[in-house]
Amino acid sequence: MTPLLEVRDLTVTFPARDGVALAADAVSLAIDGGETLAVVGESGCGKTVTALSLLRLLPASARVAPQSRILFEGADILTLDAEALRRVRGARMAMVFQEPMTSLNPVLSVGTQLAETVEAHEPVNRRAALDRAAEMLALVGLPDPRRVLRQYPHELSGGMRQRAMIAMALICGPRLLIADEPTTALDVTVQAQILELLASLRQRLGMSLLLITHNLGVAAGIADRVAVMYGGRIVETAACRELFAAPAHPYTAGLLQAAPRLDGPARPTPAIPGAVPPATAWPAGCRFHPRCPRAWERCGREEPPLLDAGPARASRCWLVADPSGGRA
Amino acid sequence: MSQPLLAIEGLVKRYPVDRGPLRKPAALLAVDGVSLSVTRGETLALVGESGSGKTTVARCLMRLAEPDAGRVAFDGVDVLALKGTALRAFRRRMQMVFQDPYGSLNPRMRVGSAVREPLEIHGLARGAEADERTVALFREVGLDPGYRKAFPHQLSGGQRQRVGIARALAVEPEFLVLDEPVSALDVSVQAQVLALLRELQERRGLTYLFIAHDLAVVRQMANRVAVMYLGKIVEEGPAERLFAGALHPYTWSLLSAVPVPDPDAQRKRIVLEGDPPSPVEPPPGCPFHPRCPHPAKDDRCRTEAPALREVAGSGVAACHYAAVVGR
Repeated sequence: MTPLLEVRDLTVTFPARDGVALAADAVSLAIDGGETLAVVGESGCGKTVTALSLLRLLPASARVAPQSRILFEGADILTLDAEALRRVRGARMAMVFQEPMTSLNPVLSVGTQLAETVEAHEPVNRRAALDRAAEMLALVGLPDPRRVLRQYPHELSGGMRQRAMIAMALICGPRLLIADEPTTALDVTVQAQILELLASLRQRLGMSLLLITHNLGVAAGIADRVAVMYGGRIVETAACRELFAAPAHPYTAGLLQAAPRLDGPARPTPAIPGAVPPATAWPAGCRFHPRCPRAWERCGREEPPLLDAGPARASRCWLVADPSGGRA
Repeated sequence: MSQPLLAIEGLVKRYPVDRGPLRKPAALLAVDGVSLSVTRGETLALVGESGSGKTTVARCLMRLAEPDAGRVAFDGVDVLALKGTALRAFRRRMQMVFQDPYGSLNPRMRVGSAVREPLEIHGLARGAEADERTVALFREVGLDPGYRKAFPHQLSGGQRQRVGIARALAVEPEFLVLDEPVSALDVSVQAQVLALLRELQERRGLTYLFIAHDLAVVRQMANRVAVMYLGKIVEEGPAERLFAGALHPYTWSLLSAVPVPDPDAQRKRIVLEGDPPSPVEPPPGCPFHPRCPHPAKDDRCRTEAPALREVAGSGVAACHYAAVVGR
């Protein structure tokens, strides 16, 4: 089966004052129909740049390297003309952002914005579009949808705004929903509601979900598969359960250990030493090696490829090839 | 027990809310009769969601906002009555660290000067001595003193927060109000800053009021925890007991909403319905009743506001039906 979305060698650079920032470096990933993939990483790892590339929403200064491919429903998104791209955006592939207040239009009512989305893709009149909008708002769990249609974004709470944003993203029945930190700006009780909503909608509508998050707990609760990014690279991919049970990459392991948690004994969590280097100056060799507790001489010299670490599992770490860590 | 270092009693803070030209301004009751005490050397965590009033409590303590009612005593001194030099002397003893050091550091001031400045303002050191103490402060918070010449934007988030802490420590305070000190940081860096805060507390015998929304972080830091909802304390007690079994249904819900990095964790999840209500028009009775998952919820909850009361010797809770419930 061909995957719904396949990203191959996606490489994105930005001009910077002190050189060129390599934000995403040969990122390859695939999402099957109905699957939830979580891309996890800290700030500056390249996860948002990867997500924005999929709908060609990168800022104008970004440069996508010519060998990059984004194959979605049989076409390369990167080579589509404006009209073909417009037909994909919002209809076949849609996106939800962290802060719905900045992605909703503050001077248009929620109903107008939802109806315009439908009208942009389908030959419907306003009345039919508004009916669809009301159905969608009910589906995302907003009480009294007809009233919400007449409201403006500022009249809604943060959680309600995010629900309205999700309704807008899903109103044309996309096959893939990209959610970039959809719950990061929300309180924890509201975050739980939105995650539950996303999981149930994915199942009911049979779509695929690409979730971008910095929160391992969020990924654990919703993903089928997880890709961990560091330094513009995917450093590990695995089925969700396997990744959390036994992380293969020392960065994944370090991140898991550093995350404060409510289960297990209450004790201080160990930090990962150092900080993420700037994207203009990734270290030679493995990009994580200066912070890695397992690094040896080879790691600073030679960058490992994504190595097979079991069925449907890969880790960009020399430990996969040499479990002794350079002592053999 | 000895006299608490900080004692807050019945703190109230209202903000006027403009509701447009045709409606009377309303009053937002940001803090509604909060009482807390902090013993020397301990960490009291104040937790709650956005709009719960936790940051307003901190601002009132620091005299960055003037409360409408209540008392604040620090080491026996009435903080709310302080003026002029006495207020300045108090501020030496109690300092604040903010969530986003990017917002609290002057972007045009080198970070070395930002740490040195309070030494001069409070007349603690000048000239070569101030330089020496700045270097020592940088070392104490784990920053290379070479960074003194840097501007805030040249540092990473973790380094900036270390500068924020060094600046607060410059005047040798006894008490730090830490307002979401690690919320803006990446997980791998969060743990570094939390370790630094624990180390400083130990070495300098500091007392912390730790304000946070992330309960998993609080669990690592706090001796005691107070939970706020709509301007009121709804539960308070020892951290160990609270994380093992909370008294108030809001605390149960908060704890169960925190995602756990374990796909197999099949926890009894309580997903609260609705959003926190507006503090401008809080619900009648118990402010939590519209969202409350407590099986015993009844008409009394809808009409009668519960008072904070001692429950089974394990803390206080503002719930008619509070009982220790393990997760």
